[in-house]
Amino acid sequence: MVTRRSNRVFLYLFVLAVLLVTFFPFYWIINMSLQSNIELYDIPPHLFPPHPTIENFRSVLFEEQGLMKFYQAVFNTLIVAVVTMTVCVALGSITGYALARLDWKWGMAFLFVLIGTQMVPPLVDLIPLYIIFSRWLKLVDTKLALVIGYTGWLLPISVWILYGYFQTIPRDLESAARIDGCTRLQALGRVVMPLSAPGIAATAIYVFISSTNEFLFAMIFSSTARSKTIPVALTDMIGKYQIRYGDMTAGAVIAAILPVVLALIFQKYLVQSLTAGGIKG
Amino acid sequence: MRKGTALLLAVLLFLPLAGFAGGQKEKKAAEAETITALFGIDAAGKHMGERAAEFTAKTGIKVNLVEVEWDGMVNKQSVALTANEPTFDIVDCGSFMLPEYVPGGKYADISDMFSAADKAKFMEGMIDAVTIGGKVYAAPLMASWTIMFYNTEMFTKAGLDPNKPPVTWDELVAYGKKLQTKDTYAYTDSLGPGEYVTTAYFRWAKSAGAKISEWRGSKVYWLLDSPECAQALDFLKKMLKEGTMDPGAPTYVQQQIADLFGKGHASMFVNWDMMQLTFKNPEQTPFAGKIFAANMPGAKAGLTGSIEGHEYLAVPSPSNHKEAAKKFIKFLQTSEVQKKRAVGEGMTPVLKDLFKDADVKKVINLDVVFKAAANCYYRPAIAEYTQCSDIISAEIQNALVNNKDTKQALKDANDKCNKLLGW
Amino acid sequence: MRGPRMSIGSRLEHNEGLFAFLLVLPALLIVIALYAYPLVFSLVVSFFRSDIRYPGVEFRGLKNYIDIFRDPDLVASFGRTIYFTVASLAIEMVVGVVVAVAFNSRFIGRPVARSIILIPWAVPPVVNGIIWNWIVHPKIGILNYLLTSVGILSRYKPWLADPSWALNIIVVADAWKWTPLVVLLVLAGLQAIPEELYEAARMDGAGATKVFFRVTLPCVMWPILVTLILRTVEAVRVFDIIFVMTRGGPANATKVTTFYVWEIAFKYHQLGMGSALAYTVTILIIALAVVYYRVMNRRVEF
Repeated sequence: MVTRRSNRVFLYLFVLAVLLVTFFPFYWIINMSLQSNIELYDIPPHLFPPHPTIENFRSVLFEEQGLMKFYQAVFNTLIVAVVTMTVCVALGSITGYALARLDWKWGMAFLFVLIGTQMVPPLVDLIPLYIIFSRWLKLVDTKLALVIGYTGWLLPISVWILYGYFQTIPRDLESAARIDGCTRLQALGRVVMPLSAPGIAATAIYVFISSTNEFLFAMIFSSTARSKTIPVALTDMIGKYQIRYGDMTAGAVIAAILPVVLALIFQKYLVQSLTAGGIKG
Repeated sequence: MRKGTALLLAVLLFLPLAGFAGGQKEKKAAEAETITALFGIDAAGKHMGERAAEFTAKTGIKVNLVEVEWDGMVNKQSVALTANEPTFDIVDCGSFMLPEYVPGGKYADISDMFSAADKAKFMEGMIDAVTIGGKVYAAPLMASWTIMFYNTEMFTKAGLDPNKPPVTWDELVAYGKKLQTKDTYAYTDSLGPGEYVTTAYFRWAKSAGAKISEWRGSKVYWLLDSPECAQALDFLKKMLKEGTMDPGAPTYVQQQIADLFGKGHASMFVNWDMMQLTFKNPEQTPFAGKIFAANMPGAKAGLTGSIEGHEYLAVPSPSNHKEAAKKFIKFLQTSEVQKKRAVGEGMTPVLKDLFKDADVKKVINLDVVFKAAANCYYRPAIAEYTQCSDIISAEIQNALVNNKDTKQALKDANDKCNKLLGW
Repeated sequence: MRGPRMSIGSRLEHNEGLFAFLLVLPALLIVIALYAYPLVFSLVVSFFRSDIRYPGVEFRGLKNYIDIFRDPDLVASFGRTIYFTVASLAIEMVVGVVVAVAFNSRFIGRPVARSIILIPWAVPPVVNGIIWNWIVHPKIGILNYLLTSVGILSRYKPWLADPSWALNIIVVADAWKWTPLVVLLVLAGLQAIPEELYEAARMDGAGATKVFFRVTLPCVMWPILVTLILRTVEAVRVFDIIFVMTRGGPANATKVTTFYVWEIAFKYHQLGMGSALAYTVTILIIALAVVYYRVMNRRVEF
């Protein structure tokens, strides 16, 4: 722990430097979003918007680009992210619990299979996945397709995180509950789940941010306002002949706020879970 | 606590279901025939939605428009067609994409759309470019050639006659010396990796009088090691070194340079002819109305070069609505629609008649465009074009940023490409 | 107590294996449904020449894989991939740990600081690439402006046009985005270290450095290794940020292996070769994962 006077000054300076470096590029995005298209190209570049305007925000949210308005993309992204988050947390919990707690001889094998699925670059899976979603499920350009796709992608990691977390919960509590007459399921629901609230929150935030940031799958599988997500909508600002930086940065500010707010709420929980498996185990 | 969590979960689950429910309703309403058309955002323009609505009003066929940025559009098309899915009934394409999809039977034969009389209505060469084995596989939507733009306000300030843009490379350099200021480069170009630098290089080589490639039988043979090609590459190197050209050029993709030029960071640049309208718009550039078009300067007087970037529409073979698709394409090729796109968005029309139209002439400098068309290099329509383009791109960039010897770079590019094509 | 009239509920109570299997079933089904077909499909395709430009497929056995190592560009790309991975991870890990240690101490505004640190992680990757493009822009970038004002540079430098700088700038952009994750994980580990350990060390007369290496570092080994695996897998597969920032240039200087996978599989439509390259990358990742796992197993015994 740092206590001496000179050390504390150094500490504050260091923290300030870190925050500056962390925040500066994001500040630049905000800076750009408040300038007009012409001001953006001035030399020297403006450190503060000379005539701050919310015109970019207005145009990105309410004008059509790529046949949709950005707020529709925000809506789509939110829905997809929330549903994916819920499903991954639900399935991840019961799976993680089963693997951590119960004696099942195929448990470790399954865990390794899960991790193994993450090792292949997703690019080459696109064609067979397209066949699955377009030909067999007939779900192209729907939010449901995105939810299913993202769940498949994020479920292995969710299981892995929650597995690590469940391992840290003392078995005695469950045994006590069962001795008191609970069935397995009741013990799971009444004792284990509430205790794992931090782990669950952690998985939730990780899945949420990953869903809102995902680009490749969304680009291929969403086409219209019905299912386009924020990352795809942002690239719509890139024309073949021009890039609309003002709109794009405004959209980016909006896009970044969502997960940041959620992350701020849940950050305490996130940290505890991902490492709990190791520290206590 | 349990009741609270249960309630929260219920809300979380029902909220999205409401979102999905919306989707279901849309499906039911689309009982009329619907075609799905995939466009790159700029090919579609701002008003494709209106055109589609007009079409629906006329024929009752609904159009489901999908607009995404160009690279995304190419990816989506690639995945859907490789998987043989009928997702799209119309796709946007460039002529160099045809040899990639036609041999595998991915684009449908639409020769029945073009009788001999029909074909005559279109600009020279546009239908030929998409005819393979005597059959037509794509329909022209928009013509496009590269031309040079220059900033007359900067010309006047530098003491140059705004009505006399540079015609030779020497003039370009001489003008450049006068036009250059601390904040402005004389010239900028899109020499970014991939197709950008390749097409840029092609137009420079063409304006040096190079042949670049030739058909030998049914195969293409590259001629990049000619003296004219070397001259073009040396000139590019020289411009970068001397500061005539913006040194950031090797990183620019074509989307970026239009803005840089328009906001006054360069006094001359080469881009697609459709930018003419953009440069008349005061919201896009402080120099609105002061930017004129001209043809690219050549190595010697009388030479110039350009590249074509025509937008075509194709009908994928897996489509289940081919006839309806063809109707929509035909609609987009009518005089009214072409004229609306020309006057409203600066898109050069594909119909010869419109080139005499006074309204169109006000927006597009057709003389310059014609001359560009006459001196155009047509990228070879072969299946391996994209691979050759990447090979050439890597070698040109080697020459530009790694200082590789010009002759060596061009020889390597030439050898690798020709080897790929089986020579 | 087993008998034919035992209810399912009771059977579940007594047969752990069955209960476990039922709980795992949904996830198992989803994974099989979404991964089995694609993975098998792409693996099989990697042994063929499959190119929609030329109708028909041709079995090639391992030839696709062998051709990869015969192509000097592809071999060079492996080198770049490893460089990128090592460089990003080095920055993320070192900076992450140092920042975490600093943020472990109490200071005013600590909760705010810890919240701000999350922002880079939450910014969409496409935007991340674009904003760094803008910062290092040859004409209107803030970096050039600052460096020339201070006098370090005499002329504006096109950073991304310089092959020796391009990949490094992407490394910086990537590290900026992901270091917060490292900070969070290591910070958690640090906060779990009981005070008594520090007291004991100080009473034994250990100085600050010794405390760090003997007490702090060993206790955060696990979170460090967890992060190492997560980030390595992602770094070896990096694609989005390279595409947005440089598209593989200049002169192929930033074409990492996954970039070639995209080019070969989608631009050139050579699905067989692209899949083979992708699986070669997979083998690389699996090898690294095995190494990490071995190291993890040894370190955790303390």
